[in-house]
Amino acid sequence: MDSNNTQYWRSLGELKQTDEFQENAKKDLPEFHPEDFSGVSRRRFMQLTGASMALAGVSSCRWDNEKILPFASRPANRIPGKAVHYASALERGGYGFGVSVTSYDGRPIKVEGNKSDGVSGGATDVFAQASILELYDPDRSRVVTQDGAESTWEAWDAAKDSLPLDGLAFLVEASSSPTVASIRQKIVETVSGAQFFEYESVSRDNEIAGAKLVFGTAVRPQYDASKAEVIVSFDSDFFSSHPAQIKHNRDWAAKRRPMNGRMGRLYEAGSRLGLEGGMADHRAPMRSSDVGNFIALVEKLLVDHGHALDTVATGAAVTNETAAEMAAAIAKDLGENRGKSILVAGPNQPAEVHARLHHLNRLLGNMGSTITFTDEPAQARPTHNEALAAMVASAKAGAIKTLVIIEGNVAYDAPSDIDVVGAIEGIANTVRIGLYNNETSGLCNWHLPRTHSFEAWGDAVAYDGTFLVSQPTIAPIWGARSAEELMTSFLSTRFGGLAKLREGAFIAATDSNASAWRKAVHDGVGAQKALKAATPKMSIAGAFSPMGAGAGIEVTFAPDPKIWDGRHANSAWLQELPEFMTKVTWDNVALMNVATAEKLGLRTEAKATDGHAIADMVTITVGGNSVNVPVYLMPGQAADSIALTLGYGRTNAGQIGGIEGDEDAPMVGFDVTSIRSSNASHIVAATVANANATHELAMTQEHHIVDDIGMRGTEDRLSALVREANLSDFHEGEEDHFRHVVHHPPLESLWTERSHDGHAWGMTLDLSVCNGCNACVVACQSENNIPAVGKSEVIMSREMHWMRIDRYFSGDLDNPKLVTQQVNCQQCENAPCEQVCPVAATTHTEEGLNDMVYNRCVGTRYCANNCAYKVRRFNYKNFNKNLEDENNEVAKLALNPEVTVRVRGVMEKCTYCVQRIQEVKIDAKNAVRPIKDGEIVPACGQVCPTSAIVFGDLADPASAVSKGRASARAYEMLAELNNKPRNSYLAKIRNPHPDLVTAAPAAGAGHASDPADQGGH
Amino acid sequence: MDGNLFPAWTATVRDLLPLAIGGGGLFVVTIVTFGFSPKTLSVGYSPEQPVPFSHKLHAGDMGMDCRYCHNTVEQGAKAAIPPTATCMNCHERIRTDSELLAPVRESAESGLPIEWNRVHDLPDYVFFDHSAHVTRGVGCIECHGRIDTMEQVRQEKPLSMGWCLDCHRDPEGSMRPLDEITNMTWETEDQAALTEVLRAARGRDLAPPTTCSGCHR
Repeated sequence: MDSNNTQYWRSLGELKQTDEFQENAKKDLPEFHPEDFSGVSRRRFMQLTGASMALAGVSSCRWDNEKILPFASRPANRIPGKAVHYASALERGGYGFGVSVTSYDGRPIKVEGNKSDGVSGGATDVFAQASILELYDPDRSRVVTQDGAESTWEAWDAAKDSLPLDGLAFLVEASSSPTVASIRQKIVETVSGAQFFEYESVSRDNEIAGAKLVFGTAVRPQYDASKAEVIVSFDSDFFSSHPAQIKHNRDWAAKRRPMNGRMGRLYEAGSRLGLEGGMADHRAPMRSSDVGNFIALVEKLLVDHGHALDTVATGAAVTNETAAEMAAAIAKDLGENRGKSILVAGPNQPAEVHARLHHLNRLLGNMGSTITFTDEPAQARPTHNEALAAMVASAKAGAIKTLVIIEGNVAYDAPSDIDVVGAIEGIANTVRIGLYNNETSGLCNWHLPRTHSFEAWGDAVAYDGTFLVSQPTIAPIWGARSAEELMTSFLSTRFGGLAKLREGAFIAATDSNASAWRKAVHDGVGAQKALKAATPKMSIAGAFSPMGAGAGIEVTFAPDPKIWDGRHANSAWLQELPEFMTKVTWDNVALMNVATAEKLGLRTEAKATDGHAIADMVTITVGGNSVNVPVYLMPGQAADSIALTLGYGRTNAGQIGGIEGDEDAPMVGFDVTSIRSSNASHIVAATVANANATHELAMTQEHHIVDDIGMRGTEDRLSALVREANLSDFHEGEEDHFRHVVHHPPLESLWTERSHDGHAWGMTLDLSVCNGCNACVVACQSENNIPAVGKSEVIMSREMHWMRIDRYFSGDLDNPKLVTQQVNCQQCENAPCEQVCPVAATTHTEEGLNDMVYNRCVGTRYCANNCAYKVRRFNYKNFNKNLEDENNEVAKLALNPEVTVRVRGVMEKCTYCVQRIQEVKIDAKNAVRPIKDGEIVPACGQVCPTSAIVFGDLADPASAVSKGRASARAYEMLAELNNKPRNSYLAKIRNPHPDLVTAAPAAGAGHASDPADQGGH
Repeated sequence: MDGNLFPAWTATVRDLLPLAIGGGGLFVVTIVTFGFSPKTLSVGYSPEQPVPFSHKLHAGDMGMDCRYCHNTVEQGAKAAIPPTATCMNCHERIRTDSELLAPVRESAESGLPIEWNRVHDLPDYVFFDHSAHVTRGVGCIECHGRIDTMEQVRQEKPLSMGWCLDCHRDPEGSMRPLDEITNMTWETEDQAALTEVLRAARGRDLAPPTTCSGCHR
């Protein structure tokens, strides 16, 4: 079997077995850093403890008395302390996303996906998860300011009335809201000369332009991956930052579980090893600017294979051998799967590429089957870059006297060749409404605090056209107003909230029925789609000549998978989230191919003494502007291509995202916007040089190394931690296929084995469909009150995430294969942690949970030391101390009241969301009914777009988790230690094209050579 | 000069010292065990309330059911102090000029809550659920005592972990028929028969959790 001979590695250091890596691996626990606790001398410590002892004696023996404040009049059906779920919506970049907000005694504490939303389907991404933290962010703007000084809404209202309305212009964020559209329409009609400019720094304008080239009008492609057998991603973001990525992931996951010997196949051609490349069966790294040529090659091969295409593309010869081989396989596969494939390019690719793929999709019969179309609301607007340039031109010509900016942050993210700062400064009256008083607000006369999505009525339209109602779940915390309210104030009418929404809303246009509207508010979605299906007419394809990409180094820009374009820069959860591929936190990096970097003498290395990672800096110069960014040597990154993400180096993001010149709020990452211009905001040729400087990175990559029999055993072990096989070598019928990878003597226990005839909780985690999207990590953080610890603490391996995604490479350094593995507490039945706790702070329940009792824990850390999976986390500090600060009190509202908040000196870990188990158990027992399978869903499983995490009762043979555990793909990690984990992993099955399988080992051959192997199965 | 630096009585002290240390240790242990026990510290706690609401009058003499006011006790974790509106259901007409009820009328008018003092206060790391107890047959009286005789509510039971576990390990003596939950004077002769009835009603054994995550999360 493939898995046994596969060598896995997590980092270049591990691959090369550097001294530094070995040094780091010897430590089971993060190192002791005495300097970190200094500051209080022993003498002072005794004084303090003496004093507090004395105080303890003086104060009463009882704890502080608590008050109970009942409602004066309790709302109907409200049960204090019982969570209620409200449908609402979020929006980013003009695409809505339906959510369900968990509200506890009137305060939202958790966000889940809305099952009725066609995109979400009940799952969410990291941004939606982190929106709760944003709602309660102490750095959100709280007051109106005028020229930097505190002011009031009354003052603004008075000032607004005296603003000149001739020369009124709005610079707005993209919005899908029908209500906003109707307000805009009304303003344009009633205020003569009023102008709207819509700008987003991250756009899909190339895709829209591509559709216009082919169809003459912009239409929005809707992909149905569940009908596809083959997906070819050309430098795309189909599974990562696409507005419908959750739907794509959900649909495709159904095709990635082997079913009767069949699976879908994914190819990826692109510069950056992202989610798509990680999931792909075959990947050819190539510069983004070479993708057009590659498509031309695929097209040519399709013609050669006799698939009647009406034109032939002309492109430069593809010399890359991997790419040429893959193109041949793609052409063969596409020919065999007519009408069952998807060819898709990403937003970085030029319009011509998108246009060409529309043609190819049509010729392959995909249109109408895997790809359908709807209207594109952005059809009439200019591109975002054009709009911003027009605004600046208009301002410089003196045509704008009053500028109203709605959200956005043009002072930070505008293309470098558009002088937006000069333009705004030249306008007499400027006002910005936004969630934060940010860089752009600093340029304006007025700043007005804006409501969060969860604080005001609104609506939005999801990518697939689902109409979403955004329902408020809490009153505006800081007395803010919504953008709709501000806009309507220029119409001298009031924004009537719900009534206005219904009036302007899509629903009202199609259905005036009051009960239908009530249902839409309740469900969060309208009965009808807001985007009509389109059947666009296609023009005849002309010749296709991809852009002539010269040799040399290119730079590609993409939204950051954690903070997008910088709007989420002040979220500690997102900043501390290890980026799924690099495992870098609190920084952005320039991804470089190893060979390219070595040519320049650039390295990323872990220091010998501890886990600190030092990256060399690279200077990237485009058109006279340069930036310095730390280098990350990325296996699988295309040669001569450097990948950058946006959003870092904000100068006024807040206490988390950084404020320039504020020592307590250091800036995070490096601003790369100065080398991004309006005509090269996706791919640009650049010159690079060694900056001869270094930067310290906080990478979780080599933390918590699973190191069971020492460094010598690591290589052998790694191939047993993640197990995989090719589809052709895998037989569904064969029981325990993957459990046999590791041979071990018969397992005997030193203890009496527990038995219980009630529930037996267990979990299966599917490596085949896990794409590493990180949503579970943030969901866990939000559900379980897990603190963020900051960059310096992460460097010391003190991150607190209960769930982590391990990422393993295998194979060729330049084109590695990838496995991601979710690791949480395995709830071992023979838990090694329980056996070493001197105070019984971690014990076992009958139902198989490995309980952690925070109040008993004395912090010996023996349990973490003895844990084979390194899933226990220790509170080295009181990470919640900042909540005691008066200014941060509001952040307490984000805490889940069903979970204890831990203090310093306490160990913590995953307990399968025991609070959710208890909630369902109590509800079911109150009603004297059995618990249904799937009724209990832990936070990680609930957000997963691919349903890779399944939780349930192993005692019930009909439950999904029991079936998963009994399936041929199941295995338990380190089962040979007789820990008896309750987590089962489902092995990763790859589906390579038969022509591209190189020397596959025969099935069953070469079991891992374990020295302890005595033939016992 | 004789060699005795210490006076003779110190010899006695020296002899008694081990006893004093041992006895002192025992004294400290005794004080901590019994003196710091919730039985000593918590039982009998009875703070004065902003409104001198008499459970004796309402629940005892007038015989109102506990659930008229604490109406979420069967559905939620919290029995919930009733909203002012519940008081006003009657007191809109009864004793409308009582001085003692002034805070209630004030609250009803202003919409601001009455600030009651919590009497039964579990630590924040304990997740107690009322509904899980009263729907299984644990009566109010088991934890709260004879509320119907109290002018001012007083903590009757220690509410300590050991006390909780006494019942969780052996629930039989603390159970009653589901329709007698709020009855303060109910008693049974035949506990065994009752256990059978309760078992039949639930279709399973009475098995309250005794593992940590039953109450701590």
